[in-house]
Amino acid sequence: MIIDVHVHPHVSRSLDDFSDLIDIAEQFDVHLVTYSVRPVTAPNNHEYPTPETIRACNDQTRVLMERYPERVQGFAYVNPGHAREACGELDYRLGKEHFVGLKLWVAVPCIDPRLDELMEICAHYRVPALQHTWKKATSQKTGESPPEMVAALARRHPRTTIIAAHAGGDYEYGAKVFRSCDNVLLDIGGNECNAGYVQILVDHVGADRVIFGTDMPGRSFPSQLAKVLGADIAADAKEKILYHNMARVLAATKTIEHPAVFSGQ
Amino acid sequence: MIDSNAYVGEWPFRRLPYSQPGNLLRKMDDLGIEKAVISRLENVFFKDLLAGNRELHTIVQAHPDRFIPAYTINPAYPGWDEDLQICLEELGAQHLRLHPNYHQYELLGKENLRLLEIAREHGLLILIAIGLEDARHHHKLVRVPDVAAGDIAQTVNAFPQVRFLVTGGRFGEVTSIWRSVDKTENLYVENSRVQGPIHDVAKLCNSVGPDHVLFGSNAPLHYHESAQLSIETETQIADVVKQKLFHDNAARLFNV
Repeated sequence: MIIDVHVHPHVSRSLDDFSDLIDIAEQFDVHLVTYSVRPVTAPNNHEYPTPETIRACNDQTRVLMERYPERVQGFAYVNPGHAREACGELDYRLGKEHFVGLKLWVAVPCIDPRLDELMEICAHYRVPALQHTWKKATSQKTGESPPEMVAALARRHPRTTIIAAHAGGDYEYGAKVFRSCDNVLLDIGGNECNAGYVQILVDHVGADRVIFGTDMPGRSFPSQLAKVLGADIAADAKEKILYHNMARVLAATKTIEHPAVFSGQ
Repeated sequence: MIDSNAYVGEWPFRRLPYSQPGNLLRKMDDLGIEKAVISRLENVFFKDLLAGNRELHTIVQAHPDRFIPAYTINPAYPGWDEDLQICLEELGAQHLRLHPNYHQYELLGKENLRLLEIAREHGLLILIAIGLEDARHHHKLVRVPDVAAGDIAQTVNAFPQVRFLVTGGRFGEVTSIWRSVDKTENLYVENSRVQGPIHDVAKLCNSVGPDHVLFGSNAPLHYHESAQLSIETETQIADVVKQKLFHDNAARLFNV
């Protein structure tokens, strides 16, 4: 069993196409932690989404959770710029619809104080907050948070588990920034399969804080799995990264009755 | 299996596992890779590429059954044509590697046109490296965009008798080149940096044709396992197609 913490529904196409990802999940025995950041009905103008767009995204994720309960868990996506509306949306999805985490992208930089209440809601439900972060040699997106901002967020909210998406983008940079942030997990999804990628993360933050993600469907499953399989690390470290670390997080959430698969053992 | 796109050597920006011939061969053995087409990785940055090419020749001579050399030429640097003659006459070059972005020249510039004319006369295979790693990760002093797909397509169109293998192209780049080329008989691609979208190899075979896609690792910059697993685990292509990608297409193209 593998837990993939970084999966999106297809954009600009029918939600039915998600069956392609379910086929891959069956092939590799993967549990898909899924979140939509752009609904199939409105694939453009999505980086600062309206409350209506946010609800459409989360409705879409809920449909997939209901359609594939054995394979899909959902993170709720919100725009912190909506302040109280965002908190209400998150609280509803976690409290009533069994979402198991929060997804934040580029609507606002994550040092924005409007994230504070969202982090407290996550701590209350014991769910993780996954924040997109990318340190780029090329240009940053507007609102895109570099790893330092995510580290600052994590230090301000030590009771909340923060997932740094893409391990910070520039993963060598992320490995250094997050080394001393014990409540930050590093998601390896979305980069090319550079040799040494996972080893560098394990060397700096330890195998207990690295988790597997793919960023499907934009990235392929094998290219991301190869980052772990190719790494020169112990077999039990690979098992932690592919499954146990995230299983432990999901097993702690208060929003779902936990299937045995998330025993974290 | 034949790996159609690999390098031997060090990289200025990070330590690479499997950078030296010994550990690269052990990795190839572990994964069942019989042969690899290799260039000298240092020749991305060396000025005197003949020095790197001679080192490559020595490495290949020590393992002639495992390594196939692709010598690197920089037509923007003085004396490239004499170096090329040495590669042809002394080192027995049959395949050449170009890095137009790192070496900063136009593929259809005057000197490269001369190089491609020589390639045509000698029946050389030209490997054009679109890029080596994600530009978002580049060192801030060395930001090197991928070679433009349109430039490669124009070059292939200008030399229909020359065989080209495009290496290090991402899915969108590779398919863009393919759509823009008039005659595709002599154009080949490999899958090292085709790391998405899902079912990328199957989609590539549908776009490019299964006779023109090769297994390539981009080792030691990337893990072999990415390209290997992408073919091996693809459910939408038949085993006979996988055999072409892993072996037969490269065997034909590199005459092994």
